[in-house]
Amino acid sequence: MGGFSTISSAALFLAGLAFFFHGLDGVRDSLKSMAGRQFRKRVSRLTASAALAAFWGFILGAVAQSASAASFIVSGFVSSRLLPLRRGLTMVAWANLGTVLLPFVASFNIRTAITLVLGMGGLLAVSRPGRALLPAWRGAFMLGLLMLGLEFLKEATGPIPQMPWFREAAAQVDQSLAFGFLLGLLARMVIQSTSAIVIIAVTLSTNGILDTWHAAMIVHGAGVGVGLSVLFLGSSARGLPRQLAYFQAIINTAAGALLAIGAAIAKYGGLPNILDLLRASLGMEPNRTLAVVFTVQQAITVVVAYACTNRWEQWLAWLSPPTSAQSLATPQFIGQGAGMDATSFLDLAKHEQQRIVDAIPGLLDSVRADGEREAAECTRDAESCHALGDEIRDALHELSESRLDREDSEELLALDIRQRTIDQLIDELVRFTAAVAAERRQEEAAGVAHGTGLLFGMTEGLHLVLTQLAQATREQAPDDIAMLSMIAGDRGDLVEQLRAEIVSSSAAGGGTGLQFAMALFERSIWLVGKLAPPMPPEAAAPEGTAVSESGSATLESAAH
Amino acid sequence: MAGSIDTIPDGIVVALSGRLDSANSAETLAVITAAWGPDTRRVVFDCSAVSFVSSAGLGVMVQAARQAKARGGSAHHHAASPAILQLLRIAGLGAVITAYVPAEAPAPTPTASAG
Repeated sequence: MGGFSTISSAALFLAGLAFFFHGLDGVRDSLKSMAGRQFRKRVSRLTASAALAAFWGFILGAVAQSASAASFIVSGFVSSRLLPLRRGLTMVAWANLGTVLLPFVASFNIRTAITLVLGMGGLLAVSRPGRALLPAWRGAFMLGLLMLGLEFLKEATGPIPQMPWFREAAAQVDQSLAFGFLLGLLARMVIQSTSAIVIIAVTLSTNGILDTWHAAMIVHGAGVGVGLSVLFLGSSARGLPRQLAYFQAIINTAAGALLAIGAAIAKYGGLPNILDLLRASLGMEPNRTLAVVFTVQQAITVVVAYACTNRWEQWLAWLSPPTSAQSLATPQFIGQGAGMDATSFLDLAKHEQQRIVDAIPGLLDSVRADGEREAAECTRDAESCHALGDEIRDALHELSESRLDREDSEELLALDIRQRTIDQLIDELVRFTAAVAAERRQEEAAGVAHGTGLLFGMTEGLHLVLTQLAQATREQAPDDIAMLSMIAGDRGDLVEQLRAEIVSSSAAGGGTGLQFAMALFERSIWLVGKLAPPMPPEAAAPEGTAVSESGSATLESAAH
Repeated sequence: MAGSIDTIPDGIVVALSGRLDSANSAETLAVITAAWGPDTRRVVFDCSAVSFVSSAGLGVMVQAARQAKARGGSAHHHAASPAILQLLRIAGLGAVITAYVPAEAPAPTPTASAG
């Protein structure tokens, strides 16, 4: 870029923000698509221990050259459940230290690496050489976009230190340590690179504009700026990604603030300062001393992270409680099953599966009369149900590799088949809500209401059946099971009759959306029937209730 | 609740009015549950004044039908509009909550009212 132009820099800054946010969304979506069993196993192996997570965090920080970028990449892994939060926290802490590595050992051109990732990822995503790898290529492209966004932000703000007003402000820093701290904080919020700020501080110090004390305060202020910047960039995130942003903010703020307070006490209390100690013991040049101060500051972030290892998850959950979708996707039972006997573990898997069944009626909320949630929320819940289903299937798969007795094997197989049916039901319900919403929009646009009553009846009726399914599977009460069996019965005749009515009342080619919704409704009810629990054999059949040969119960007559 | 309770010799008549949805379903069910007497066998939903029933409202009917069934009785609807009838059918309640046959019982005697 030639001379500093406010408009072009502002445009570059805006483009940087846009690339960053779109890239961030894209990385998360791609990771979600990739979060299959194999990939999760691979990630799990790579981060199997805290030491491995620390190593990869360090490498990530070194390669990304940005603590912010590293924390957002890790948050993508955590929110797509590829990485447990605890491992994610370790990676983020060590990524801070990783950011100091490359400026010391090599002149690594991150721009070339970003361009390469963007080009390769983008071209592979377009040419689709392997369908299974498409999310990976798309993810690489989006990662490149995210990094390019940060580069744009840095480039747009790069000329600021050369501007007269900045140099004037920097000269004022010499008058006050607090002002230096504040300048570093604000500069980091805008420039998005602590390394760049360290270089600016070194330049100002070398040129005699600042002494090393005040230059160091800029570096400490930048530490707090990292925290605020991550919180700002992650302000749209909720739950787990927000927790990681808080974590990054807290450890960076603590490190920057600790050193700044230490420096202020030393300066005004006449005590020995870390800078003087470094220079005296290592005989360093002032500019190298600043680089070491930066390294010490980043190391303190790791120390702060480890100082409260066992408390972070509790504190972060208080600061940013997981969203309902994130809570739903997190196993609550099977995670406690390590070392348990197979029978008890299968019981835990059953409880975990019940959590999905309990959540299923809510998937219709966006089209229900009483529903208070948006379609996007319901979609997120459906994804979470699938994610939890994947966890259950993975756990069952692992259990199947151990020695099981006949009864446990049969139970495992039944649970696995049941999980597949649940997954099918979730997919049908997602399609059903989309079909109902589309049909309602179409009728509204056409100013007609032919299918309003039918759509309402199907939605409310299906919700009732799903609620009854959840209750019957949870309580296992014979009355509930019998009632479910009644209301989830075959609707073939009714649907045929309604179809005929639609055809007769619609113009040629009309009513197809309504018919599609009806087909999905019918299939959903059929799947509920498959999921209906059998009547417990030990339960005495209540009066008027007969247990069929298949074990499912029917009320002989609900009304006399 | 969305209506009032009357009694008939072997049952109760729940006269629904207005909307029966999540806003009043829990209260309605509680009133119905409290209205069961030792000789109550049947529950009749008088739908002549009801304008809207959501799945939560259907849930109330199902729970009341269960309570009736547990006592060896039954659940019925009365004066339901075609829209309510269609809703009951689509929800699979056609055989659970059947049409009330007036000849089966004498005219309701008002004894209690709620809401």
